[in-house]
Amino acid sequence: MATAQYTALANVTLASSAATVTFSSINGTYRDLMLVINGGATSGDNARVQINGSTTGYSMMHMYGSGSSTASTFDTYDGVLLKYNGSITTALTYNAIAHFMDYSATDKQKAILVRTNTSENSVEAIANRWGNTAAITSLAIKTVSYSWAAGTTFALYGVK
Amino acid sequence: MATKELIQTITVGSGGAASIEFTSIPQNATDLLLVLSERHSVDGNTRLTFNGSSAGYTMKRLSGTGSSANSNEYNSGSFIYMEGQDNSYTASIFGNACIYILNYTASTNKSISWDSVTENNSTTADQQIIAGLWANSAAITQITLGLPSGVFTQYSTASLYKITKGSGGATVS
Repeated sequence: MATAQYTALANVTLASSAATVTFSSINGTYRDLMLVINGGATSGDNARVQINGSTTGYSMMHMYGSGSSTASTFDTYDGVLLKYNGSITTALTYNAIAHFMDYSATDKQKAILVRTNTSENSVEAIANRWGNTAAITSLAIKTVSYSWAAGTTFALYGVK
Repeated sequence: MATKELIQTITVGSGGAASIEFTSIPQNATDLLLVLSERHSVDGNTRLTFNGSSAGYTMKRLSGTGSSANSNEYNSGSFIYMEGQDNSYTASIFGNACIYILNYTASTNKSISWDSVTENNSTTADQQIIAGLWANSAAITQITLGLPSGVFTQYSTASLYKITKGSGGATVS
C-alpha cells in the first residue's frame, strides 16, 4: 500500500508584522491541504482563514481545555476559526495545524479540522465547515484586530 | 529531499526499555513528527523531554475518559506528559500518540501539538490533546520518552519524521 505523499507547497516567515498572509493559485492536484502556523500576534488577538475570499458559509463545533476548565461550543464566523478560548499572544508560542480535506473537490462542502495550541491559555480542537462546494484555490490567514507578529511562520503542504 | 521523511524507527525489544531516545537529530528540516505506539510495564504517564533538559516545560491538556472531560496544566515543569497505556489495561493493546514539534531548529521557544489515545476494552480509557511548550531557544537535537517507573514493553515503537517546508508562494499584506 502506498503511503500518503506530503509535498511542501509554500511557506513564509514574517520579517515584520502583517495582518494577512495569503496563499493563492493553490495547486489542485492533491487530496488534502495542511496549513501549519507557529508564532503570535502583535497584541492578544484571534484569527481566521477565509477561503477564496469568501466571508460567508462558515460554522464550527469546538472544544477546549484551559488547564482548569473545559467547554464545547457551536457558532458561526466569517472564516475558518483558528482559535476560540483566550488569545493568540505576543510570545510566539501559538501553533495551529489546519487540515483541509478534499479541498479541490467540487461535489462536497469543505470540512476543516483545526488543532490549535497556546500553552499560556488553551488547547483546542475545532471542526469547521465551509458550506460551499467550490474547489479551494486561495487561503487568506487573517488576524481579527491586530497583526501577526514578526517571526510567525506559515507553511502549506499538499497531501495525496 | 522529500517533504516528509522518516529519520528513524525504534522498536522496543525483549525485556522492555526504560526510555526511548532519538539522538543526533538532523538539523536540515523544519518540523518533527513523532508517532508512538506504546505500552508500559507499570501504570504511569509517558514523559517527553528535549536535549536532556529537565526544565522549562509548560502544557495544557484536555482529556476525555468516555464518562467525563477534564483539563489540567503543568507549568515550568520537568517534562511534557500524557497518560500512557497502562499495564492494567486490556492485554496486548497499545496506546498511540502523534506529537508535532514545530520549527525545531529555530532560535525560539519550541511549540508542540500532541494528540493521543489509550484503549481499555469495554471500560474507560483516555483521549487527550495537549498544547506544549519548551521555553528554550536551543535547536532540538535529542528527544527522550521516559517513564516514572517500569519500562516500555516489548513491541512498543516510536517513529520520528522530519518535515521540510517549501519556499515562497505567499502574499503578505
